[in-house]
Amino acid sequence: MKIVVPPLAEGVNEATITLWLVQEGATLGKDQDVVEMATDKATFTMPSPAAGILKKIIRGEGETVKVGEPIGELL
Amino acid sequence: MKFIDYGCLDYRKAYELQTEYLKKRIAGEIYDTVLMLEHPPVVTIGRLGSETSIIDRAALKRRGIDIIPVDRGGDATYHAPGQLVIYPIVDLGAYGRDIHRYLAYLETFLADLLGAFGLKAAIIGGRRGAWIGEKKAASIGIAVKRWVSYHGVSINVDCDLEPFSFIRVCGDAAIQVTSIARETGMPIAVTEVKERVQRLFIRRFHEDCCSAAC
Repeated sequence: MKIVVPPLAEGVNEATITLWLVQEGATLGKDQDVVEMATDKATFTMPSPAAGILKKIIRGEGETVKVGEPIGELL
Repeated sequence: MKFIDYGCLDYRKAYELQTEYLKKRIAGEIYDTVLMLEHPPVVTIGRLGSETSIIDRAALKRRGIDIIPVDRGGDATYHAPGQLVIYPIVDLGAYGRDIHRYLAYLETFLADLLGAFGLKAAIIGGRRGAWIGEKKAASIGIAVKRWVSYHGVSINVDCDLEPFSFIRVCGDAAIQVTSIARETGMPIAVTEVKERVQRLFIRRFHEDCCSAAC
């Protein structure tokens, strides 16, 4: 399962990843905080969409990502 | 919506308090809650800031002003007595889960609040906050978890503005700041501003949120 960037505001297509709260290989519970991103003057903490293991971080901190884009992969 | 006045509270203690309210709001145990307070002098750096957000570290140290990295959006800012800080712990479901819409709401609220003291505050696209001429009188920085917002806004009522020159306000050394007292030329107590917050915040909330999403 992919972790994808959610829509954060109407007409906003991008966000910047500010912090991964877990490392690759970590075991995640559903709804556990996984990654934080920023848009404008706000940060947004995203929970894991499911329980599993974080197999891969696809996009790293400081990278600009698009809404709907996969940024991590759950096993 | 409940408004609570915490007087003057250390930044770290206030952060713990916010976190408690945040957890309860996420769990649905409380209604939207707006915390109003002042902080002893402190510099905070949001997630878009870095070490380079500090211009004069020695000056901050001389004054015993701590620098605290925090999880809100935005860059560096300064808090001190005489500045009103407002942390609305609110569910953004009422804003259609639209972060920018909520930020715009906070801007118009700040303009209303400054307007109550005869100041015409401008909202400038791409430069969040409330501006009087080219000077910033109020700042915005929030964080959102499970679509509940925390952190919030700060309004310079009648505070020492000099320490702002020790940092890059919002990451920009060219930004100058002002206060209600400086602009009106009259001393003013934070309590006078607090008294206006509840009515204006709720009024603006109803106009913005209830006209569309609710």
